[in-house]
Amino acid sequence: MANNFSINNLTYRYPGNKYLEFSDFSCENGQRMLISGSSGSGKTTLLHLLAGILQPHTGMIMAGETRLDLLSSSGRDLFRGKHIGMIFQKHLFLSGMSIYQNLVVAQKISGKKIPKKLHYLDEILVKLEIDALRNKKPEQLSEGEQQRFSIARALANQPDWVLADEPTSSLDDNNCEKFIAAIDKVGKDIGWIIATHDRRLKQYLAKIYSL
Amino acid sequence: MYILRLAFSRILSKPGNSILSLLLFAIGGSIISFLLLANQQIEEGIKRNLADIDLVVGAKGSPLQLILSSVLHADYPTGNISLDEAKKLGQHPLVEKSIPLALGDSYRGFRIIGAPVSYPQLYNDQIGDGQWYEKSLEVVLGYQVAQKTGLKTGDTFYGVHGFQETGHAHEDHIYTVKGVLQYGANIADNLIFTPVESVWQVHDHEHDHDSYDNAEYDQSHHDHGHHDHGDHDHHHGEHGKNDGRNEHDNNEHDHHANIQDQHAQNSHAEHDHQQSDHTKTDKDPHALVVQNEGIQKFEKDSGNQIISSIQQKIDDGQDISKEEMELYLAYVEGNTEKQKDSGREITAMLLFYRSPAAHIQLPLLINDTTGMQAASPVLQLNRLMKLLGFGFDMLRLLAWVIIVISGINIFVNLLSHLRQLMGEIALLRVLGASSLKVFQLLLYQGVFLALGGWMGALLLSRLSGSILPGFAFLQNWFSLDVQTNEWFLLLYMIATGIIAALIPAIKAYNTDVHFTLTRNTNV
Repeated sequence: MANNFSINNLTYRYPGNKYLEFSDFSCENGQRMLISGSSGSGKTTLLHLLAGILQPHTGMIMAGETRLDLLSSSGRDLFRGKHIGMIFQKHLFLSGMSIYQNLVVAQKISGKKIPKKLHYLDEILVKLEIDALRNKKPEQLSEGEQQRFSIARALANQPDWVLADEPTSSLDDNNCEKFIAAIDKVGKDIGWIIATHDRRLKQYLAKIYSL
Repeated sequence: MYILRLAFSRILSKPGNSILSLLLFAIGGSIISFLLLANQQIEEGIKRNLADIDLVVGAKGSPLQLILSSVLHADYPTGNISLDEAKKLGQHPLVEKSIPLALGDSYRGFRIIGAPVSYPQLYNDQIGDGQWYEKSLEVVLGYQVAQKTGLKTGDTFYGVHGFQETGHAHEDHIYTVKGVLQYGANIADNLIFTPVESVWQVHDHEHDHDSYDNAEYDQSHHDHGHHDHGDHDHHHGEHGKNDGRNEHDNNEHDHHANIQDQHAQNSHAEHDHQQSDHTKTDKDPHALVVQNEGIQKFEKDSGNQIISSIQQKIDDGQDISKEEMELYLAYVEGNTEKQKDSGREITAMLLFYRSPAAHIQLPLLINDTTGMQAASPVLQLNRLMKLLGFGFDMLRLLAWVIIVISGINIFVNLLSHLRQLMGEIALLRVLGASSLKVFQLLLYQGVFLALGGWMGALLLSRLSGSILPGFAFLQNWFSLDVQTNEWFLLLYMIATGIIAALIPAIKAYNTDVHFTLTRNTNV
């Protein structure tokens, strides 16, 4: 129960007085939840509220035992670094660095100490079948490989939850299946919250939250 | 810590831009560092070469020229002075020690300095090979002279007139190398030392067939053409002991390298007579360091209590009254009168003070009451440094401007890549980096570029100092020591780097992660 993710009476106010209200949900430890909704319905905004990137106007965000909405900006940064991994539709990476260096930096920034001897990163790279690419630059990878690299980076800090924003919308069916297979493989004990309008994913996710 | 490493790898990821920024920093910094080094080296070098010489007495003219020619051996001499007049100054109670110099010739661009052994010993008393000179036409070479000319103990050579590599050769007078000095990191390394008598001997002979016309030399010594000294035939004593060279004696003109005809006219009329005194002074070149021996002798002879008590007062550093001073000077005058005028000339007399009071009294006394000029090396060289300083200041200003330009370059670089960098900054923020961390990331990049530029600057300035030909005289150039001023340079450069990175860093600090990410996703 310690790793539940839940929101209560959550509202967000955009600059210019536009309000968004979110109905309550609770996502249990290790559960996968899909946030569905049309473009502009506020999927990304909700995801960023959950990640602590945005601060809610009212309401409560519980991440495990932590009231995320009560934390300061830097407190939320710290929390995010330690407990949350994120995947984006567009691939973001630190250019000029290899895949492996990107993962190491991600781990270092998170502030989480994962002993090197556990070979945690190596394990992820192997499981995601991108181990052979570890010394390549992210920009040299194919679309599918880049998405798997994004999963690897989201997991680099051993997070409790991974929040993904449209992770499959630019992938073909084959790569989409591979993506699902990959999170099955490496993300079993982790809570996944995926915001998408990609219908292909619905069948794989137990819980659906509609905006 | 990882932010530092990240900043470093950010710099490496854009090598072209980074190298440009670094280079601009390094060029500006190296000019400053070079100037600082040059300034320090020149000052140190000059200080070493001053060798505590308090006053230089020479012919009237530019005081700076006198110092340059007689202390730093860089310019042409102002002219000649009478040895006897100069000697009188050497016997002044405020003078501890005096050294006569006779210049005028060189060997392959290295100046031949006629002086008693005590002169080279001011700089370097270590003979590396051989021994000190004792007789006329014996020389001791400075270390560099030996290195560059290949001359060694026992070798012989002849000098040329003037200070150029080529000139009228004194082929009749062969110098013999008696010794070579050890390396001393001062001016003595580049000089050739010989007794004053050598210079006299060479030029006495020279005058017999004074038909050459060294235009370049004459230019600096306007009076070279007027050697109308009549027949000052008064060197029998000296030449009598120089076996085999007597043939010059008969028609000698007592002409030295740069004779002033004014003096010649003033004093030579009474000169044809002093074999006995001459024999005394010329026997031993060391005797030219006149240390008031004459006065002590006088005390014994006459028992003049007043003079000896004045002498005592001077020795003890006490003040003496005007009357006492006049009495003493009158005595000295009388005493040297007895020694008679040798008619000899020297280029300059170096004086060392006995008491600080001399700093005020002696230059005034000499400039006002004699036909000679007295110049303080310290004062003149300070003047020179001030003159040089103006050029240095302009160059330094230029260098500061270059550093500011490199700062602007960093600013433009960081700012123009910031849009591109925004996605990465958002990513770093998502990964858990605080706003402050991304602020630092940009700031560190500015600092790293400045630090790299500074190191490049130090390296460049030291390399150029060792490679540029004009600076070969600066010893110990390639030192790894960082001067205090260079630490200030580092502070300045880092401050420039920080200021340049400040605005991009503030922008990074204020990055709206949500906005950046949504914009990225919706593109």
